[in-house]
Amino acid sequence: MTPSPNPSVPRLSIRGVSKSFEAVRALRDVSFDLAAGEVHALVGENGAGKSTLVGIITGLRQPDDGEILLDGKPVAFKNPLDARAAGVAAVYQDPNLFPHLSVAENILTGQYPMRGPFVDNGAMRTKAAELLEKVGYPLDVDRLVAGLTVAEAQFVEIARALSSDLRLLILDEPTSALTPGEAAKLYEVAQRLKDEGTTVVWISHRMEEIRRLSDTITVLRDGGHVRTAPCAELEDDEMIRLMVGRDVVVETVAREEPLGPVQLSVRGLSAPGMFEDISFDLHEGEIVGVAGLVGSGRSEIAQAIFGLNSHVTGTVEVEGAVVKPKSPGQMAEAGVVYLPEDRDAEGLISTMTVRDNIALTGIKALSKLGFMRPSSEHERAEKQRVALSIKGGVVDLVSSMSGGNRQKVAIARWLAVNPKVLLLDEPTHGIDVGTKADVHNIMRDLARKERKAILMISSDLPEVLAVSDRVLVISRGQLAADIDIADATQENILAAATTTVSKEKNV
Amino acid sequence: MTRFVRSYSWELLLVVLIVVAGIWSSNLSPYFLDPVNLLTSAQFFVIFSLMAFGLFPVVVHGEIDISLASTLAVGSVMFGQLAVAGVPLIVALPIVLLATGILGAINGVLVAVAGLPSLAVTLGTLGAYRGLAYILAGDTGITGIPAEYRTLGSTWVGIVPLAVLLVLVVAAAFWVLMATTPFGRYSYALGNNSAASTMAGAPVARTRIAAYTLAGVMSGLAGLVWVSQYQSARGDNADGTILFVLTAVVLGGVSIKGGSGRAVGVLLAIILLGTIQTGMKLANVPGTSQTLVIGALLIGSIGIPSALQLLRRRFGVRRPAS
Amino acid sequence: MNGTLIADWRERLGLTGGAAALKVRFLGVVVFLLLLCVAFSILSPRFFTFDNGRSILFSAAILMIAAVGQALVVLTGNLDLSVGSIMGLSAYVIYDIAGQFVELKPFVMVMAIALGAVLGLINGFLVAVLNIPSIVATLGTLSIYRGFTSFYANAQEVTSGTLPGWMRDLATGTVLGLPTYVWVAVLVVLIVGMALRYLPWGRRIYAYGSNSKAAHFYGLNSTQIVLGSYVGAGIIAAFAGVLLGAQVGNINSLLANGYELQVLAAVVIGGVSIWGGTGSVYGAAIGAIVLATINNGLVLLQVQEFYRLLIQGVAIVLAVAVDAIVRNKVQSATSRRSITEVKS
Repeated sequence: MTPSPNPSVPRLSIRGVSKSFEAVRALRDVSFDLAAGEVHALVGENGAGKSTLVGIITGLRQPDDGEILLDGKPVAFKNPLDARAAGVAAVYQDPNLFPHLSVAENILTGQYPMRGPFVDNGAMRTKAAELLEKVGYPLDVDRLVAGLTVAEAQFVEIARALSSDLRLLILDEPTSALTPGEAAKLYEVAQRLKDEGTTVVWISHRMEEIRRLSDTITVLRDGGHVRTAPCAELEDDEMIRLMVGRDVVVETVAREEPLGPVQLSVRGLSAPGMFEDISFDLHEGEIVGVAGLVGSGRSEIAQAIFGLNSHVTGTVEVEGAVVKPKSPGQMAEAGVVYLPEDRDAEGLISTMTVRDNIALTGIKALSKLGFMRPSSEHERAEKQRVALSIKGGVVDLVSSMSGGNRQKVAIARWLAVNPKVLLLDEPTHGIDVGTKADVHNIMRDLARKERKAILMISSDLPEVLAVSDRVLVISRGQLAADIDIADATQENILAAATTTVSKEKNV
Repeated sequence: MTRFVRSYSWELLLVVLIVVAGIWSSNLSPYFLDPVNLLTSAQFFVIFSLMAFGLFPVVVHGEIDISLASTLAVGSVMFGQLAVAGVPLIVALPIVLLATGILGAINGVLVAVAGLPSLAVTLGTLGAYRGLAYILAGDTGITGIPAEYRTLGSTWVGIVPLAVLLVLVVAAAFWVLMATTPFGRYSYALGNNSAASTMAGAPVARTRIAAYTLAGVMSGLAGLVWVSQYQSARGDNADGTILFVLTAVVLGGVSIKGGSGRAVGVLLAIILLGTIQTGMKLANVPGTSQTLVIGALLIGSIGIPSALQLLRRRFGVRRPAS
Repeated sequence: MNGTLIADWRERLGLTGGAAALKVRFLGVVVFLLLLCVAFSILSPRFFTFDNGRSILFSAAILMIAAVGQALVVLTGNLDLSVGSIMGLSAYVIYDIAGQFVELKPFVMVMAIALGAVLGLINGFLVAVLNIPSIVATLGTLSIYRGFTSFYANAQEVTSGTLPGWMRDLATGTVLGLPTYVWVAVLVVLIVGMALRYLPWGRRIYAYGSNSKAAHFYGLNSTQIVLGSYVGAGIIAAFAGVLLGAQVGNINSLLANGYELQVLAAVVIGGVSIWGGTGSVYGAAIGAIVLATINNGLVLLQVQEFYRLLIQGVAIVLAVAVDAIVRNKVQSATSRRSITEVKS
């Protein structure tokens, strides 16, 4: 079904593509080729330009310069449906499905089988079932997407992509929300597609996956093309060095200061459907890393401690006193603060100034007799700006700052209330390496010198190993392991993250 | 200086438009610019102004309240009945304002606690409260309002009607409220990004309910002004006025998506709308056509900036992709 | 909530909350209607008769048609507050023209469709192209269209004498014992219902309403979809207006003034979610019948007219509350987001 590849003509040629968004150059003169019938990995840090490139290839955006050739012929898709019709489709991390509609209808949206002027519902269901067979993940096509798991939704998206003669399939972080079993199924699908002549673009941060699957690897950095090479010719460290631009050494700084008393104590914390029976202690001066697969419930645990979930049972003690988490405001006052994973949507208000963001957490403290005092708000922000070396003025809009600086503002927001416990959710996600190291140093200072207790949720295992004093591993909503840093390795953390903890039922 | 101009650009534009509208109106009639006439005509807009200021914080939150006119009717009818029953104003005032405040609070609770969309909720309460007003008023409505209740409609301080003075005081109060109090800070933050504000510990529910309650109170106050100006109260009072009120807020530079807008802008917008509407009256434009113009202004205040942005995107400066 | 967490939790619930909740919603309205009928039958002996049933359906007919039109817009997650004004404008202008130019009398319906399409197109342009929130845009056009009607009418009425004879017959006639209007309404409901199910245009409306972001990423033309829904709503509203005019006889510029509240109530009660993407025109039609039943019941029980508004308002709030619960179930099943975003 896919056109037999002419070995000399690349499946996709990207020639001199550039794209800017106002002042930001997202892509600079990117050129490389993708062969037919191969698995081609696309790697690069966040902000390297991968998403922008995918957007251009699928017709979601138009490039400012350059062109794209599909099987030797120039193409300029006006929208993703257009691209799909030509056999080019992308599947993203977050499902792009229509929850109120059936699986069949989601698979064939916009490409409905017709009988005359009418949509042929029967044919739609048959075709959808066929496509799901091809993907190797049969589902009841009449089910509403609202009832699917994330993995099922992903396979529906892939089936959707197959619904035309697929020449190029782009998978953006496809396994980040899947269990190893589901991921294995996905590898099979990729292999099968490759055998049939489709080119699969695999975007991922997981080295093992890339090694295992890809034939060719392309590295992007800061919007520019760095290297395209066969997988066998590119070693992991070399790849990382190209991605980052310099030698990356995630530093470990040994802890000299002793641990203090328990600041946060959690016992039997449970939330139906999210996590069960979580118990741990957090000491003053300690950084505890929380590892686990995406979707294992780590964020939910931190959010529950911060008072964002009203259906939580179990006890939380701050400095020995029992606190019932009811709201963020109340927990912040008790000395526990949380930095959410989605920094730009939830950790900051990007349309407001640095000063207003930092003031927001302490409005009660800053007001006198019911009125705010702009001078104290300004002072508070200035103090944080200096303490964290934030680049930019206090009256600048947060949206104008770089990712790293924005994260500093997000941290500053909470440091300004002098908390005792900080719950950080993926604190260095999407930040360039230089600022990453900054943030790590800030964390170490906060813990060791300022005697705070830090819980750090992170999916970056080297980071977890470098920064933590102890590692908690969450697997499928349960505490699978509590490992001291001296004993922790990537292997045993990963092993713990993929086990199923058996529950002992007390009769 | 340039920073001031850039920051207050919308308000300055309104001032320019007011001047233009003023010139147009005074062309239609030489009496327009007579101060006494101006202030007397201004009385007509007091009711809308009070409601607009009540709506202002709600829109800053990024929400809406289209039930205010119905709340006003409940207020006016209650005032009317208490007045006719001989209750002194000083006693009636807290009772009615409490009642309309509760009506507002119901909206607030449904939106903030039950998490229902404000448009649908206030669409429902628009009907429900209007029905309540009719039920309270009965068939004929209330007349024969005693003098005490008519004070706001019949007293002057110098050449300024008391009611107009009330608007100025309210405007100043809301300016202070939104610009200098914790409530104001939280409101702008919530309007800009509700999720991030929650994460920062802002008391979402409390602030939202407070905004809606305040809107209810303002509508109740507007109900008193209605009774004092029209010397009567019926269930259909203020029916349909939400258009003017919403236009005043949106035209005042308060973004319908929330997070921005100033009290002075709302005041200027009311003055502008008042000037235009008074001018239309002088030009003998029929009532429904006046409403037509207000409707057009409402659409224009959002549509024109949007159209300009579209054109700019098409023909010139590159803008960031969404 | 995350996908593959504690597996037995999901299995325990069987068909997960989201899908089941959606299916129950439609049945809920029907059940509610039946309960209403039972309640009124008990409270008033005159309720449960053929005559009364006929009367309910007749009074519901035009509301059903208008609700079907509004449903198109609400399915995309928008509103059309100008429906009453479109109805009034269409009725007045078209009958006035038909009265003045006798040769146009047979073309009343065609003119209605054309006029409705134009008015709807304006609404759609404001919302889909200029990105004006639908409440603001249609609140504005509500006044503009009504103002235009007044302006055009110049305080005169269109008398029933000028209406085309066949329209008047339509309004008063019966077919098989039911008023013709009821059959017309049923026809409209069926046609639009079929269109939504079997035409790509209709399926796209549901897709866009279900997840407008996904629709954009997928490549569906959002502008066209929203424009199309408003044009459809305009045409149907104009049609309903013309029918209403024939029923009323003497038309003034305030015909259908304030009708939008009833129409929206019918749509919302009928299960068309204000967030879009779910619900059907059949539900909207039943919502209209529910409203008509409530009115009828209140009259029979000799309850004051004023309570009708109160009840309508409360019904809207309750219907939306139920939809919010349904929506929660749907969202929590497909999203990996943090807890604070589920309600946005």
